[in-house]
Amino acid sequence: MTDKPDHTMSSEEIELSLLRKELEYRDKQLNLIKEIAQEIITDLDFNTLINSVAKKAQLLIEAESLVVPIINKQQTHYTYRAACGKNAELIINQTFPINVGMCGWVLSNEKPLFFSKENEWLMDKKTSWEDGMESALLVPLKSRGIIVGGLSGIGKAGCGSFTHQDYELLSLFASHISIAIDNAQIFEELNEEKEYVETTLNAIGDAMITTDDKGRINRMNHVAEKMTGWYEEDAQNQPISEVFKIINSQNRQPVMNPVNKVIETGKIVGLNKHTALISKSGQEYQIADSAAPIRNSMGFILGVILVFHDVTEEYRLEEELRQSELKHRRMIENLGDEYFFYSHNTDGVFDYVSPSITNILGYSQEEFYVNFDQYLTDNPINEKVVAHTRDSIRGLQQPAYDIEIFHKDGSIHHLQVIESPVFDDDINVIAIEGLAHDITKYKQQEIILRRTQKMDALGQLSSGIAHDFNNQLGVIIGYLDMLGKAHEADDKSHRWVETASRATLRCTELTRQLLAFSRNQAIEKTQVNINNNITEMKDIIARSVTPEVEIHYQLDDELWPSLLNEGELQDAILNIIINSRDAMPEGGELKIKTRNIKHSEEKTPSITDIASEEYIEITISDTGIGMDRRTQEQLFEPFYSTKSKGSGTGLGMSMVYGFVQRYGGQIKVTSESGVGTCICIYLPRLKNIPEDNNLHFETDNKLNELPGGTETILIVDDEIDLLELAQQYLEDLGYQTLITESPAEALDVLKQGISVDLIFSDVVMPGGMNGYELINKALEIRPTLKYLLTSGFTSTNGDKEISSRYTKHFLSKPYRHESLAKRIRHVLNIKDET
Amino acid sequence: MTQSNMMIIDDEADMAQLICDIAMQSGFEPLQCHHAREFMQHYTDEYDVIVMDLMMPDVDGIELIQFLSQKKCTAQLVLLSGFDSDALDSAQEIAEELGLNFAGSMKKPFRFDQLHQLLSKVNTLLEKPNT
Repeated sequence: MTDKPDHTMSSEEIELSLLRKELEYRDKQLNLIKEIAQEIITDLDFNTLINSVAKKAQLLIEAESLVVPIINKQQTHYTYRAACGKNAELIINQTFPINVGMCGWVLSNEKPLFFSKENEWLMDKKTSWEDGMESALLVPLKSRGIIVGGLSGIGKAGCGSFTHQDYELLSLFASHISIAIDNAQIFEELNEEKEYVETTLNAIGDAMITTDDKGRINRMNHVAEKMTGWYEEDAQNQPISEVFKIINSQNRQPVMNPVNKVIETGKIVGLNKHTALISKSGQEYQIADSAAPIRNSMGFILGVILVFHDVTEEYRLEEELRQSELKHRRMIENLGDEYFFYSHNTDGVFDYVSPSITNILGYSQEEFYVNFDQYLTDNPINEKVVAHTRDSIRGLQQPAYDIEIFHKDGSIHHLQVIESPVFDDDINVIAIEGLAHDITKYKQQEIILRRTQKMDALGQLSSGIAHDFNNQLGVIIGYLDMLGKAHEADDKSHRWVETASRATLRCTELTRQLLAFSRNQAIEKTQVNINNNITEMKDIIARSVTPEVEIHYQLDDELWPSLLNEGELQDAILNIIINSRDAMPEGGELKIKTRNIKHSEEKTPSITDIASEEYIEITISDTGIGMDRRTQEQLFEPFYSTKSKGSGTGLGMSMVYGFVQRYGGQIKVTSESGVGTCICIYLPRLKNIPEDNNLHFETDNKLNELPGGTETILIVDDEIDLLELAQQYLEDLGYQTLITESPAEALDVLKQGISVDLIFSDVVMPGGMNGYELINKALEIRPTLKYLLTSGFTSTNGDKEISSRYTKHFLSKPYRHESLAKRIRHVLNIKDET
Repeated sequence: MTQSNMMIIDDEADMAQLICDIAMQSGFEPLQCHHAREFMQHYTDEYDVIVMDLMMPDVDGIELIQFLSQKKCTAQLVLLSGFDSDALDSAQEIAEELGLNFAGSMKKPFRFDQLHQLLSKVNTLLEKPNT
């Protein structure tokens, strides 16, 4: 700095003036420093501070520009954090490595630098001049003895160089502000730290609340604010339970706050899985997470940090998933007795089969896993299983297919299987899943249905043929008889005619049997005690079988009656027994068994279409050669026979079948080659008969044991003979009787108020009123009157609708004494229908 | 002795002829008719015996019985059927109920002797009033 003296002044004046100037200058400088120091005290913000430092320093040393380089924490670089004066905007915030430039020299050597063209004495090492630079003054800025940056004045304002005075001033200034810089820097760091922590906290997706050691809230992040519905400033110093309200989402009961638990136990606490947070506005969040103590270096708990997050969606999904899994599991586990589900890997190793397998096939799940292959029968349909499974593994959806498998008890079951491949995300087949349906029952029903249809068709066919045959055979046999008579003398032709007659007679016998099979209307039915019939047949049965056959009877004493034709029943039993005999040429055992069966009590799945809930079972079993499957299937077909030609007609079992069908029963055959055959006949129980006289019906033939009574019976018949006959019968049974010859007379009797319990009337009577009309009129007079109608007409031509209404009250003519007695008693015993 | 008139109604010509032949041997002068409808159209009460099949394609046996009843037919009635005796029994019942003279029934196929005996019996029955 140069200051040339004025020529016009004296040397004293000049000196005085210089001193004054000097003093003013110093004063100015000190004021500046003081002013700056003032600002430093009031300003803690680093940027504001160094900007004002830069401005003041520029003024102080009258620099053209002044920059403030600040070293980074790692001391590797410096940045011009503040600049003012010429080109300040160009250099502000530029960063350089610590060893570059004049500033770099000052910062790394922690020494001032002061030079000008004339004065370079402070320069230890010469650095190259930057273009256009004539003078520079740089001093380090230190804080607690450590260099933090510098003040760098470049170019003296106006012209010339910095002076030593400038250097002293700047150094003094630097030492004054170093503490302020230090503070500001610490303050800045703290702020940065704070901001960092805050940003971090708010950047966390989880909600976070910290409390003091009493559980009062210190801090909470945005997520916590959002979820609790509290602002941090409102929540501060509130007890945690006020802000963080939680309940058990399943039982809706409040649960202990984890913060309090941490304070109590000093341990980290995880939240219960089913915890729900209720926000200030009442919104509910399913939450999960934990609380942990905050400890100081001594280990004392300073507070608690609580971290939680919203798992409402997860919880919902999880719950949905759980429910859906439960549902599917239930479905699979409860498939019942018809379905089971399975899955196996691509090597065919099972990893699941529904427990219903045990109900269906008798095997445990484990047995099935291991031995599945062995359970398949040798039926050719099973050969397709391998191909289907192979295709499934190749990813092809399979059509439903059938397999045949052994039940644990050895019986054969049919399964219908629907199999599909299971893919992973890359569409590789990873497993096979399938659903098996036990269709055994349906198969059996189908077989029965098919057989029934076939037999019906055969029946119709043979019925037509048999009828025509009968006529033709009748002609043949008739003329053969005449021929036989014409040639009585001639032995030879007479013999021919006889042979032809015998053959024709065999044919007529065949057609008779065919007709018996195909007849769809039952012939005369009576109430039959099957046991009595079997007992009567014992002799015939014994004669029918070979002496080597042992016969065992097991007849249920309480056997129900049935409505049958006795002759047909006996024919059927004999036909079965003859087959049994032929199946046991070497002898064996024949068992004949009867018993009652209630549909609801016993499971006989193959007996489905039986008309009655209660039925009688007749079982005839032998220990013969048995039948193969094919024979069993064709057993009932007419003309199907396993016997050698000529020894059987092939109609025996057809007749049995026709018999059982006619009476609404069913027949079941079980047979095994080499073991024997068991034939069960199911016939419906006869009901609607008074309990007291239903059992010994057939054998009670004596008049004095017939049911009688003392009631009054009104008999109506236009034929006086029949009228008297009926009167005789009924009086023998103990009844009081009244007789009238016409319906009109009968109605008169009723109108007179004479006591009548039952009206027994003919249907066809002259005089314009038939029996039905009479009953209608009679019931109008006496609604509780019992009645029984009789007629020689069966329902063939009469009004079917009318007669069907009266079947319960109808006795066909001619009737026997016995049936009249029973029907009268029966009708009297019917409880009033009203 | 005048021979009794007989009408045989059976749709099977061969069967009708057979009955006809047997009837002649039983002392009748039979006529035959193969269509019951035709018989009904040309009905006269000149027959002493009517032999009829119960199962014919055009007219049901029962229908014919009712017809005869309406005509107050007094002929002896012989019923024939290829079906079981049940059908014959009920037809007999109906015929009797309707006041016809039931003479007997025969199940087809029958033997020569069976029908011969039945018809002979009917013939003697008819001759009785004359003797």
